[in-house]
Amino acid sequence: MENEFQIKSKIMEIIRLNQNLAEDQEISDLTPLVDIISNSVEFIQIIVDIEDEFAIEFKNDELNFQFFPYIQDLVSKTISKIDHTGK
Amino acid sequence: MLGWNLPPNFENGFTDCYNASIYTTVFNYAKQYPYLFGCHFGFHYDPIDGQRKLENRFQAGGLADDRDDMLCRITGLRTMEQEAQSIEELLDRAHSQVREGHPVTIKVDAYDCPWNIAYQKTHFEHYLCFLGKDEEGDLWGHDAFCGVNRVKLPDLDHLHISKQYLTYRYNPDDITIRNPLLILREAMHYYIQKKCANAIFDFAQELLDNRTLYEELKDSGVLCINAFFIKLKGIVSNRLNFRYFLMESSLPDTSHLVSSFQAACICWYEAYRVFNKYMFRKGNVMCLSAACNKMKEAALIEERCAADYLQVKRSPKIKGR
Repeated sequence: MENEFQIKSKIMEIIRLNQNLAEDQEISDLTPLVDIISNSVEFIQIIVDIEDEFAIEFKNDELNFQFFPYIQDLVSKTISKIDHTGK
Repeated sequence: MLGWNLPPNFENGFTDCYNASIYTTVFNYAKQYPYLFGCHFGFHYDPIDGQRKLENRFQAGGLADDRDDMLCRITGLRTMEQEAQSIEELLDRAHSQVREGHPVTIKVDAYDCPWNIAYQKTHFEHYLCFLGKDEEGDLWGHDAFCGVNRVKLPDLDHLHISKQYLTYRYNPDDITIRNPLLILREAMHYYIQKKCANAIFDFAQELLDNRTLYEELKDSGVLCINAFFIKLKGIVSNRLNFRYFLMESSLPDTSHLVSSFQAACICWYEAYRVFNKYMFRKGNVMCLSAACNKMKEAALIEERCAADYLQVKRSPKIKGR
């Protein structure tokens, strides 16, 4: 099972790749998603990549980045889904 | 003039940039701004008809079908389409209008607008509303569709710009509809009489039966500026703005209607997001089915809202579903 640090690192990497963030642009747990994601389409692309990476599935009513104010919220939700699948 | 602001409900999104420009003008320049959004409750759909693409067979609908007339009767604002002989003449006229205190809407290419998602990626018609001049004498305005306050016209050297533009005149004597209850009643009548819920059901069913949406859209570029998704997002935005009308127009005894309608807004927004996921999942049927079912759920709620408000019987076609 991947630990929290590994999961967080992969999610950060997915966000960086999707949003084409510059190498020197720092992001952390406490980065608000609205600072790096400008619309729901970008958010859904990130969710789909997270689903693929961790073999989990977000519910349709969770596809809303207003429910995930900070990166940490996305990480926590991902961890809870991984835990639930028993990976 | 420098104090003009973005409309308060811009975060709900607007149907398109043309309407966003008009809304910006109404908010800053005319009257009865929230009432305008009572005209955006409907849905129109034409079944498969020859070669017409799906994106051209559905639209938002609503009392605003006769947009210019309703705009004038509710807000006192008239729009006038104009055309200049050259770009230089257009800019001269725009400066002159703004100097006299009249807003101007100019059609540019989103490719040239640094704040737009299409910037240097895709050529796309985009309307901007110019309201004044800054300290350097340059035109400035708002891009309410993108939610950006105080934009400047891009550099003339690199500008793709249309010679057509839009001017406005406001006359409070032209306002003939002053009672929001009348707008609400007409909006609900429209929804029932035009069988908008049935149209939503039929639209969703076509998507489910054909299962070709992904194939039709997969090569059309950036999703959120694809014609189908722009239209769908516009319909979602119309619902949010209709709720804004319900909440901001001081209508009596509508708290139950507002809370019921909120449930329909949630369904529409979820349908839109799941359609996006459907595209990222390369035509996943489960996603398509979930999105279509959410639209149908929204239709049922909306029809119930309208029928309850008008105290009429629901149409037999919907009743059995």
